[in-house]
Amino acid sequence: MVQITRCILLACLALGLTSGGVWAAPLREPDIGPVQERALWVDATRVDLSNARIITQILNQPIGRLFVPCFVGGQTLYATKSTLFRQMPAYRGKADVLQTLLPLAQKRHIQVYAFLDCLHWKKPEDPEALDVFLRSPDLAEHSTEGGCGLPADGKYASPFNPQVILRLKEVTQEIAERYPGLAGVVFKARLPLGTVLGYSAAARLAYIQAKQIDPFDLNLVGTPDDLRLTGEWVDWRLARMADLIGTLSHLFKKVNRQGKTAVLGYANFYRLSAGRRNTTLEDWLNWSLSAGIDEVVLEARWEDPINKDAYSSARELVSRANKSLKMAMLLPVPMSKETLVAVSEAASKTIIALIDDADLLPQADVYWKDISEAVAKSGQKE
Amino acid sequence: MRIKQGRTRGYRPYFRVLGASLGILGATCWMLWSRAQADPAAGSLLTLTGNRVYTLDEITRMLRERTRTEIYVDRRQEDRRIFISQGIYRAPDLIEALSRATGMMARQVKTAKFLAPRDLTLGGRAYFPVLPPEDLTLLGKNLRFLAEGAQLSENGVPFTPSDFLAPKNWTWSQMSSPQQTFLGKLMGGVKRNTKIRLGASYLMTVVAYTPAASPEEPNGIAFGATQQVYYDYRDRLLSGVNLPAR
Repeated sequence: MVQITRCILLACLALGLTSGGVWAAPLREPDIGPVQERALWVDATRVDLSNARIITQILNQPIGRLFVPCFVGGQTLYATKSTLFRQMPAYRGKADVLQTLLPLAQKRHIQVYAFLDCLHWKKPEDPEALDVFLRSPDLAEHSTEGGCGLPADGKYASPFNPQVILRLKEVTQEIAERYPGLAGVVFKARLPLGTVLGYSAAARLAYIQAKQIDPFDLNLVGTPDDLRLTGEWVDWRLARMADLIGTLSHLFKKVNRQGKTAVLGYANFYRLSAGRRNTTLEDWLNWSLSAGIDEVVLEARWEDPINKDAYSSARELVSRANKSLKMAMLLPVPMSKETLVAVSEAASKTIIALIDDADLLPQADVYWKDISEAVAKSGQKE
Repeated sequence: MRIKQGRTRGYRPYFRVLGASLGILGATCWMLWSRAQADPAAGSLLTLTGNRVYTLDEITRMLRERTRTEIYVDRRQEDRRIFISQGIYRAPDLIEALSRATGMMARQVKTAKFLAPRDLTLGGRAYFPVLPPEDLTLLGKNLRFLAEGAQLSENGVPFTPSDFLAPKNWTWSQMSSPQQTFLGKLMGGVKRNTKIRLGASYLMTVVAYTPAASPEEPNGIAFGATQQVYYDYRDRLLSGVNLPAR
């Protein structure tokens, strides 16, 4: 009886607060099972969060947290005041999705996290018209050839450029102030794996000022002296990324004192070669140690057999660093059999299902059941 | 002319000899008066008292601190020493002179000048600018007297000018203890069996810029020639390039 009453009440709230027709699905009590925490990550660029029916489907899932991209591809989910960034075209002229969603989620005890993809300002699939760098080319990071890297990787902002950092601070502050009900934010700060970026004029000047060497004059292979200097450059690059994450994390927490900060990281980062680590610079463990990060959300191509134990390796690293860091596993839905094997190997207590297709939302029973079973297997192993 | 191929091999073999070579900046600069007038940095003057040797680190720091000119030198080259005569120098003139005296490129990187060991426009192929051999020979002939007159010992260089001008190889045992210490410091990690060739990498004439004593007077015109004279370490690359005997 109580459950039915809650259903009606929340459906009414949904009707009152969302635009358009609402399909009020029955609310189910979360069946936590062996998974201690379930969360959903919805790709707002592919799933229309202004659709009330979709919102209802999301909120009806047995989840404790919801991750919503607020800044991706150099575009914001909301109507930003930024003079540089634009709102995602799909949400222009519509009600503020997060402001609609937040009270509904809070009613259901679902914490909402905003996701910021800090550096990937131009995705390869986005039309040229949405390219931020057409308006501000100086903010892009460059390869030795002077371009932005492989076209298939899109374009990245320079984490070494003070103007980029300023813009990211503005966006972080805007999100924190605009949505005080957020439980936290997730930062992603990654350069592409395929090309070493870091030769923009801004990056070169920053390194010249810091170390009096132009990155162009470094030999990435060579004598021990060359390698020592290159190693110094890599350390500096990693430190700048850590500074960026630390700055943004601190800024968010300054505005939202209860808010948590998390980073998205590649689970296998520390198993990459030094050269590969120098490309992405996604040093999530050190960020969490130095930048006051509360959680790391790990992603990988879990279906690849070489990543079968990536999560457990990452957990071991965290354990060795003596850091009580919350860890979560990000799983794209639908999941292959191999992915579920990785889930059972990972024995993660926190699972985040990534949805990038609205048609998958009605299949929540299926994927959560699969995840629960996989996690249960890991429990048996333990 | 042979050009060093391959970035990974780099300029290190030449560096050893270059490290031992002394850029003698007896002078500068080849600046047209009209250019001085058009240059926004023309008002940045650096006064150097005394004729003496500076390290590149020292002189670039002085430029940064006293003329607010943002200039840096590749830190692998910062201990290179260069003789500069006393005078009042416009910052752009001095930077150009430093570039020419050391063979380094003065790159513009956003707001800063950076003295770099190689020319990026040449890709990874060559690290120093190349002048035609006949030009080098002619300039060496005209400017040899400057090299011979340099007071090296007064500036902590335990060699004579003729040591630098002589086209000969030195072995470690042929050098005195102060000379070994001096070169060891410059060259860092040099093996004792390395044959060393000393060389004056550049010689230059100078006419310092002279600012007007009063608003009514015109500024002194900076003129003269800044020229590369002799790359000792390049004689294996440029055939027939030798400082001619007087």
